[in-house]
Amino acid sequence: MKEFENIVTDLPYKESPEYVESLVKSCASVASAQAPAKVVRPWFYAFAGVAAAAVIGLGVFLFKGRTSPMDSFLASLTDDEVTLIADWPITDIPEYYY
Amino acid sequence: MKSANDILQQASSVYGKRLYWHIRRLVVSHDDAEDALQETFIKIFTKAQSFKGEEGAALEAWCYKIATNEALQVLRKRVHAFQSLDSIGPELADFLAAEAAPGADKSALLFQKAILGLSTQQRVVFNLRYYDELSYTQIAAITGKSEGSLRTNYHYAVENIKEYLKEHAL
Repeated sequence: MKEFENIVTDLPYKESPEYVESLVKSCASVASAQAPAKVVRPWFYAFAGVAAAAVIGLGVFLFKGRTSPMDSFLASLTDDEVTLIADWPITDIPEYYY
Repeated sequence: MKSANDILQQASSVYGKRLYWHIRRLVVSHDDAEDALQETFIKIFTKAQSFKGEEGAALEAWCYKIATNEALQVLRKRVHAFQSLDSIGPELADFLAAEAAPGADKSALLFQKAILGLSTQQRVVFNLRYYDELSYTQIAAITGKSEGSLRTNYHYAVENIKEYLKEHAL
């Protein structure tokens, strides 16, 4: 490079070449030791997908046909109670509900 | 086809030190540089199978690309919300003052401060071209920018540094 020939452009840091070399080796060995744990194999996704589908299927099977709490409540009401609810004066609802 | 271990071995032994200094010039802090280098090697190892290029220049550019991304990732964590990455210069200048060797040359420090005052894009291009002496073709492969815009970035980086040094009477 021709630019800045009359200026000191060296990096002003204290790390020696030997230190950096050992640091690089250390980082590389740690990376090769750590990395396999981070590699996720395709079979893992397949297994996770099948497991998730099984859990969802089981959930649907178990809860299929169950009535909701609201349906149970409405079914438990007598005709008089239904009439009472239906005739509830709407003007009694506080303003902040609007 | 080389194994992931072979590629990591080659990347660390041939380009390792250069990658460290490339990252260090971008993040300034040694601890951040060490973390970013570690992540770079992990990425190289885990993505080695997806590396389709030939060895040599392509591997070098690929390693530099990962290292650059990791370094910028470190910087992104440093900037506050809604701030641009370019606004981190003063903070990095503080790091520089703290991490410089005792008795470091004043003009060398001033030169580094001038570089830290550049935009991130200009800084990346300037460092890769000036210190790592990579060709514009290689830098284009690393940054994903066109060679024309890289030449422009480098030109303005040099001009900005010269102006900074002139303002600070060097």
